[in-house]
Amino acid sequence: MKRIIGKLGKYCLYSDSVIEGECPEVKEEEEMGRVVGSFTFTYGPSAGGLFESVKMEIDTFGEYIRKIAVDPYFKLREIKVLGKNIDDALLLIERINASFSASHSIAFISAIEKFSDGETNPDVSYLRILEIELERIRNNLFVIERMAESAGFLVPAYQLLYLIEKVNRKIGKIFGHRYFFGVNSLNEVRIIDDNVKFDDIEREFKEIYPDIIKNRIFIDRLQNNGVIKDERSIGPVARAAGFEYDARREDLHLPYNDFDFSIPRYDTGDAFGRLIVRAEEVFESLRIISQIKLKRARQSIKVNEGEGIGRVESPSGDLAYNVSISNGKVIDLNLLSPSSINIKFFSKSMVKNIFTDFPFNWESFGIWISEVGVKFV
Amino acid sequence: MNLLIVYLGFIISALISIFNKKLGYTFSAIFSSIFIFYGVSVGNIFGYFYVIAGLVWLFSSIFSIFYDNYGRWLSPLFIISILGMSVAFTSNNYVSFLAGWEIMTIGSYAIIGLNKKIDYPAFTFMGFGELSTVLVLAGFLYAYNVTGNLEFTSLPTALPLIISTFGFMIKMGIFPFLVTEWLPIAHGNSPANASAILSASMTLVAIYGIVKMALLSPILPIFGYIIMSIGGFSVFFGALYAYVSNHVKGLPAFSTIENNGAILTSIGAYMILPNSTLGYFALHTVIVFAFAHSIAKTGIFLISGSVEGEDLDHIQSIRNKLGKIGGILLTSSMSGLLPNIGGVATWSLLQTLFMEAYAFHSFIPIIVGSIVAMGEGFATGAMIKFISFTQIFKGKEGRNVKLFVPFLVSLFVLFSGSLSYVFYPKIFIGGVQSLGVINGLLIFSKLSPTKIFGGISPLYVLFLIGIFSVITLAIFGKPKVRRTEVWNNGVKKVESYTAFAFANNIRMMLTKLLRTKIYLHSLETSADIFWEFMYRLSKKYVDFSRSLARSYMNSDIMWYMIYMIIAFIIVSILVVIL
Repeated sequence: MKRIIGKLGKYCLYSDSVIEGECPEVKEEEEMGRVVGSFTFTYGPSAGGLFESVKMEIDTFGEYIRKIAVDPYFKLREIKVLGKNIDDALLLIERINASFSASHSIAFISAIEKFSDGETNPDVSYLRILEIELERIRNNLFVIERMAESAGFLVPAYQLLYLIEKVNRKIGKIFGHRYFFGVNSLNEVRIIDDNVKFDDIEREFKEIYPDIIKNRIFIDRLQNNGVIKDERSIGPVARAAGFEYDARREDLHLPYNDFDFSIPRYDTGDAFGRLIVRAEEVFESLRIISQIKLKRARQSIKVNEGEGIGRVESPSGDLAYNVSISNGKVIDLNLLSPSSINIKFFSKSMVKNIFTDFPFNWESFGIWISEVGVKFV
Repeated sequence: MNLLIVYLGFIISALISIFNKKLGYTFSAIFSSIFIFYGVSVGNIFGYFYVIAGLVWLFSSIFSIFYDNYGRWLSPLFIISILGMSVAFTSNNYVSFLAGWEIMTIGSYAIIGLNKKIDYPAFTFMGFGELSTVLVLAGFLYAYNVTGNLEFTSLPTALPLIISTFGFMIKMGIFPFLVTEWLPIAHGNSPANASAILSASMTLVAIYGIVKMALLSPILPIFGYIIMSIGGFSVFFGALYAYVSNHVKGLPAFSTIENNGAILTSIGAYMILPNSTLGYFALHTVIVFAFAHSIAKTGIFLISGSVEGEDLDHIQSIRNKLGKIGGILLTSSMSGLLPNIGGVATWSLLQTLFMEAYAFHSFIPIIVGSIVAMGEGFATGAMIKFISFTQIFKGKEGRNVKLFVPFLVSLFVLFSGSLSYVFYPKIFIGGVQSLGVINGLLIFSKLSPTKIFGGISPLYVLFLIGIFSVITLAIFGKPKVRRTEVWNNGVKKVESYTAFAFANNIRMMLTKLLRTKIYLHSLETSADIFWEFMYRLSKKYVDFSRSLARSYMNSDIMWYMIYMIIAFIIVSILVVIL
């Protein structure tokens, strides 16, 4: 089924194609100005409880939220990448959002690979899949930890932080850097240690997870909070609403079909559904990882001039780059980050919600402001 | 003192005010003062009511000199309403009481009707006012029937008390007739000076009526419990609706319901055990509460008269130090904080309820006490909201002559707390030498002449606050205030919280009770579900009677013939039988 993902430079990206021009607009309800009794309450860009700097303008009657406008450009970063060669550009791209460093750099590399010549090595692709899945595990654990922390549910929060640290150390042990910096290039994935196991992660998460979803006080804060069931949503947000959207099944550049895994889904579309989907994804990612054999591999790619689009399923949904190369230099670069789409749906899900449900819902979307407030120059 | 002087004085004031408002109000203030002196000279429990009412009229009249720009008829009607109340207060028979009652009602109706934007508030006021009159009249008629006397004399049965109490309660806006109080004031756009006498002294006449009838009636504890429970619910609902009200006069009007509920609770406590020390204490609780409410509420309405506009979010107010100090003192008194008179009144009420629960091991006073306490919480919230949006945080700094009178009233409220000893008989006044409290400066609540339950010394509270403040100032000097720009998450824009938003947490929590309807661009609540219910019921009845009338009187000659034949047969049968 063809679905719209979003705007990528001068194109509209679909799940199975790309079309030049604007994406079809969804008819939004007419904007109302200030109404009787309401006022605008600013949260951020510098406030407690926020992990990153983001400004939110909450239009409210008090407690009840009419509208929320998220401004991720309050701290706009201009990244000087145009005119740089691919390796130098890659160093900057993997630092846009360290948490999704693998997804960004692999989407960027995939875009270039698509219009280049040379032999691709499946083992290199498998290692890239390993990176993305490890990133997914770490991020999903982190999102669940943030949700637990918002509820003052500190025992599982600290248990999860401990588990995240364990994952980080394993990533560092394999790749030489816990955020995959300097790991990816066109022709190889750098591996330091090929003898790392993940069984303990699965075992320990299996101990924590049932306790989290059995806690009535905690899940009361999540159920029916931030319900969003929209066919234009992506990633865990879409899957929590029952949509089977996943770039791993749609974009075959990375050979995910070589592995046996399923796509977890839920039907509530609320923060609780998003938690369930993310937790189940941890187990599925571990399943994929268990099927990958760690070994050093190289490939030989000859970069052509041209333009290509690379897409991966980041922990928060579709992430795509549109890259144009000329004379071995990046001359145009556009990013479609999952957070830019999720921000829209978060804002939509907050309508008619209340202040106290805000942090849980915000965390459940797994939004990273750092990958939205960027401009390539 | 001859009361005719007072009556004539008010009549002359009303006549003068037609031609010269300021002079009319000045005369009204003078005769209100005379009425106060009359109250002091009476020397019985009713004298307190005269003093309270006189003070309300005095302050309202002085305020009106600076306030009234409502055309020619507000001033005479305002004074006529006062005249009606003075007649009702001082009557010694049913007829003159009712005459005063009606003069007061009609005068107020005319004020609401003349200053209208819409028709129905005045009609609503009159409708409920007359329903109240009918019940009071029925009670009085029954009393006359059993005693054969038009004077207020002892009654052998409690039925006149029961019937007339319900009549008086409607006038007080007591649950579920809250509409009598808030609607004419809020929707009728009643002027602030009129709102003050409607809320602070008209309801006082009703309280006076209940107390008067209760003192003449036999003991009926079960009725006391009923009255107490109704009072408790009125406290809760009055305070809740005050908290969610956004109307600059509607909020204090709902607050009046809450206070009337508290007074009614005290009356109920008195009725349960009238001939005991505890009952005697409860009766004086009624007086103190009535005093505290009437005076402070007058000040609050005068503050609402000092602002332009109706919606708390859109009013234009000129604020200054006088208004701030006045507002804080008045609202803290209304919130039951010492050393104000409101603090003494709230203490007195809660002591009464605790003592009844303790003495009888009864759960009703405990439940009522809990409901009252919940209501008081909302009342405090409502008062904070009112004063924040009228004086403390909003508006422009500047000179506002209208704020001087509420400031005076607030000082009166503060110091009358320390003078509240005069409201209690000697039996409840004492001292504790071991604690350094001089004899005569401690108010006791007592279960019996010898059994003390609790004690309070408002003068000492005021004195100690003053002393500690001076000591602190002497040691640490003037407070070092550092002013800094508001840190609003690091952005320049500074928003302001709306009055509507202030109470929205409760609107969201009590959705079912407040009938909160949430739409994307608006949020609606019912100001009063009881009124909503009554309104729907009346509408249904009107629709039913209209359809019945149309089917019954359907212009069909055949049906009229049938009616006449049936009527003829029935009449013939009745003639034969009888």
